[in-house]
Amino acid sequence: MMTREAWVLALTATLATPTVIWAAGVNVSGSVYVDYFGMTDKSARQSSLSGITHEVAVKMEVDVKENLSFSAKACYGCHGLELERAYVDFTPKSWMNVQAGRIPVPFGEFALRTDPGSHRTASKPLMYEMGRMVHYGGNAFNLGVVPQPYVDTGVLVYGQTWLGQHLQVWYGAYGVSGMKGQNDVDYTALRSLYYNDNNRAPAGGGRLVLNYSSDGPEGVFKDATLGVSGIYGRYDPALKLGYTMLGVDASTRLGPLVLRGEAAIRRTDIDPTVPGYRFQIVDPFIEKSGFYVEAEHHLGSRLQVVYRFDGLRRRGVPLPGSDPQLSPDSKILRYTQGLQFTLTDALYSKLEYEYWWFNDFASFHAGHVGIGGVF
Amino acid sequence: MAGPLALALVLRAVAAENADEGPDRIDVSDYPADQRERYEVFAIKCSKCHTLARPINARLTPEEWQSYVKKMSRRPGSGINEESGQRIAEFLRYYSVRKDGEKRKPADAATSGAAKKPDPPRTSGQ
Repeated sequence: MMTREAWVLALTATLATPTVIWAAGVNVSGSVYVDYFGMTDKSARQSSLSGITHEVAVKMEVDVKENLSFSAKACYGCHGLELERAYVDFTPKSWMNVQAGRIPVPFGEFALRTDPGSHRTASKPLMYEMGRMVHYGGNAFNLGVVPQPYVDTGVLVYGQTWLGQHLQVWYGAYGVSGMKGQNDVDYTALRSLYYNDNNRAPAGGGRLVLNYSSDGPEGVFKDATLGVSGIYGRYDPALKLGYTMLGVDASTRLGPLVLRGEAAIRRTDIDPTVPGYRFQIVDPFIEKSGFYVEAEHHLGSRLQVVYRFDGLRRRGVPLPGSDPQLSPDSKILRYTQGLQFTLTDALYSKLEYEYWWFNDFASFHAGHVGIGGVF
Repeated sequence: MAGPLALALVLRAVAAENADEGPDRIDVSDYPADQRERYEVFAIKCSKCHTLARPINARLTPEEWQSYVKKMSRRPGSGINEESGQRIAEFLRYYSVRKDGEKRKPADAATSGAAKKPDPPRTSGQ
């Protein structure tokens, strides 16, 4: 029987086959990014994926008909080979379309920019972070609020309508397998072999986006977007433990500045019958909340500058086996200053300084240097 | 393994320095006025989700841009309505033709009379 890695390798090989690339209605794109993550604190280094990491992605889109397409994306990174997405997209009407398969779940604005070639910083916002986070293990922060890219098996119904010439309303509702775990969400289980669901109850969610669009050359105020997202589901095999995720996001362009901000919270039920809690349980859930605000602008034709301030908070009793330093109210705040140089033909380099502040762990300075390309 | 790869990418970048004009943006100062306006729409809408280097370096044919922009307009919060989608597609069609023409000039001069090379593999952004 072929392993998932073998399937992904086969897909990647297929994507790279010249006959496929040359076929009509087939588009291939992708990206490569190599990053070095260094920090001044030893315990932080030991609880992170410091050093060199990489992400490689190849994506194929096939237009089967005018209103039917297939999209697949294979990634190779910290998780090994991964079929990040594979879905059919049926688009009969602008107000009603359907995606089915391994779909990118529309939660938050950043979900559109998860590829390293699509965001200027070397790291993701903490609320969406996976591998480039510190104290990220299940015995501490257990990653962000919604680690991105969040891809799941299910069906998305979406559409859009315009109210006049300037106001776009985008809406989507979906049912997916949902999060998995035993006592708190286990993100690696989301990428488990064959992507099987661990219970019979799908998770349901939706997203609504309002966009005010201004196309004219006059004025400094261009596009403004406001979005809300939500998901509810149960993550354990016995269907006793639920989770709710809510998010709000906004972005706009003000003259040369692109401004973005997002906030999200996830309440996750925990199992109070598990032995080994360090504290008496008052609320049988933990809350993970996070935010980021950022601004970016060009500086000349090849340099982009980004400033970001973000945070992550975990409230709730530490789970059995947790790091002894983790308190029931643990916080991270981070300031980020990033530069992205466009070197040549879609080849770029990133340079980033970060200051990480913790209330439970030692604060430290960190930096990224990376190079990548998109095609 | 990552070290040599990074080094190779840096060397590639250094070797190609000044081979283009900074492909995350296009110098449209000598473009016709209507294309300059369309470029503004393209730059604002498309950079919301990805770097402009992706469409700028994509090798879609002028005809394919229309359907691709339509696909992009369905993204959440794209802000691309029918009119602005048309303007973006028109700019990208113009840019594709112009870029191909500029690339062909020195090649034609060097290999006048030679058979036309086949088009490269088609790739696109996102």
